[in-house]
Amino acid sequence: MATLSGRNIVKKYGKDTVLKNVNIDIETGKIYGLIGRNGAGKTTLLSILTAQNPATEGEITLDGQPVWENEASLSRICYSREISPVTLFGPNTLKVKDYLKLGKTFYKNWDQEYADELIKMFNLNVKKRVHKLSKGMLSAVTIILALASKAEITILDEPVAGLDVIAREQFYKLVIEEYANTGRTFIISTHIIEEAASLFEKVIMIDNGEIVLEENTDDLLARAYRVSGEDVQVDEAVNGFKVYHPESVGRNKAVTVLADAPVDGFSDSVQVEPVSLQNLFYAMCVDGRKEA
Amino acid sequence: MSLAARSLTYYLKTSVQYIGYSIAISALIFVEFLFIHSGEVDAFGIAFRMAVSILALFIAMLNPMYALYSPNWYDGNVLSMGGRRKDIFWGSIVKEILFILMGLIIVSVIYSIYGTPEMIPIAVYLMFGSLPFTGLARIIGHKIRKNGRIAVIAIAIVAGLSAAAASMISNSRLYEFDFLPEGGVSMLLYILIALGIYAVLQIFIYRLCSKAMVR
Repeated sequence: MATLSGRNIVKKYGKDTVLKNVNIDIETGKIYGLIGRNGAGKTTLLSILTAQNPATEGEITLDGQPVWENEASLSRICYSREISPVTLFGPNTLKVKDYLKLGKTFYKNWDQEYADELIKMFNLNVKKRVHKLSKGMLSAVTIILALASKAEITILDEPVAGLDVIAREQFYKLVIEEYANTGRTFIISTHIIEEAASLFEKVIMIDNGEIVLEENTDDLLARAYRVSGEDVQVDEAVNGFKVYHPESVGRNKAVTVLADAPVDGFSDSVQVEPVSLQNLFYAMCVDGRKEA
Repeated sequence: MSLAARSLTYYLKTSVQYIGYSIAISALIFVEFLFIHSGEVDAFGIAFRMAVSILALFIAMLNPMYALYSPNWYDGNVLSMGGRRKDIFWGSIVKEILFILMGLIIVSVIYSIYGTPEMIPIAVYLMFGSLPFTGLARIIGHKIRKNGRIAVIAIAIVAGLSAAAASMISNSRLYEFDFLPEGGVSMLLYILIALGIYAVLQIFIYRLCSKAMVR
């Protein structure tokens, strides 16, 4: 199993430190979800991992070999990012077919037949220019490029942002099919956590330029709980656990708990429910969080 | 095919595409001149020679223009597809030199066929003279990429004023090419100086290219 690793990654833009000493290990043959708030550093991290942007400090390797300017590493990675409909000099007038031709030129395992199939599936007019595409169509182009690249490590940055619910479901199905057929590694950054949560074998949570969590999704959710009840009893039940986002209404209180290991039972006097990945993410990243 | 070969293929295709655009625009100009000179003796010849001269001028102008645009567009695309910075650097050099060489061959052949070989040296001066500007334009392109629209506006103002000044000087001298050296020997020197400046500029371009980012 190969590993894409980042060690002590720091990225500064002027005085702003966007990534703060990040360490990350991406094992191949898994589907990763990268979740974080806007500006948390997701795109910057992905750009650095794929050598599209240089890190201020730190080292990125794939199987121990540097990724930066290394053909052997770069040839195994596809980072399909959101296409901008505008360039510095005006609208992006590139035609979709020309953009996809770029993919055909640069990705050695490019599957044109599959690309054509996806174009039909997403009902994409390849003769259209990028600046005339809707947000959903822009997302479709990003997805087609990523999937047809057949790259061993495929990274998608906000691929479903503009897609309607049907197209989103198609995308999730396609990723699962590809994963099942080829064992390709996918790293998907998304804001639509609830829908995509079941897709992620592992989840990486990034907040304020730091990785706060990198864990198997099922293991993570198995030790996350929402505990509610009378405030005194809730406080007593969660004493000693990591508690996030306490909410109080009168004498009732609800907290999100992330235990170090699955807990058999808190107390009979409180209600305990499982927590979804989105709610856990919200609780951990919402302003004013605190730990018990 | 290696990543370097794939990048080179992309830049070669781009270079051929540039020539295609230049010829297409010259063809339109040819048609326009044909209309303007219709009824005159040898209207076809006049229009053709004018279109070819404009083609030579056009190629010399397009090379720096594309170089200015390149870091923001072509190079950015290659980088976002997993291309290496050093392949982008070498690919761009190949693209720029190939563009003027292809242009020079096409223009020279046409001038030779149509009995105006005296125009070939002017085309050589134009094409090779464009190389230092092409290098400079690439540096400016990288700066634009870094500093955004403010750099574009500043450069547009400077370029506009320079063009106006050059136009006035040129007009006052009745468009004489008095900057061209006399005698054929100095053409080689001219080419070497142009290539030398272009090569020196590549040192700065290499540094800028090695820090290039996808935005």
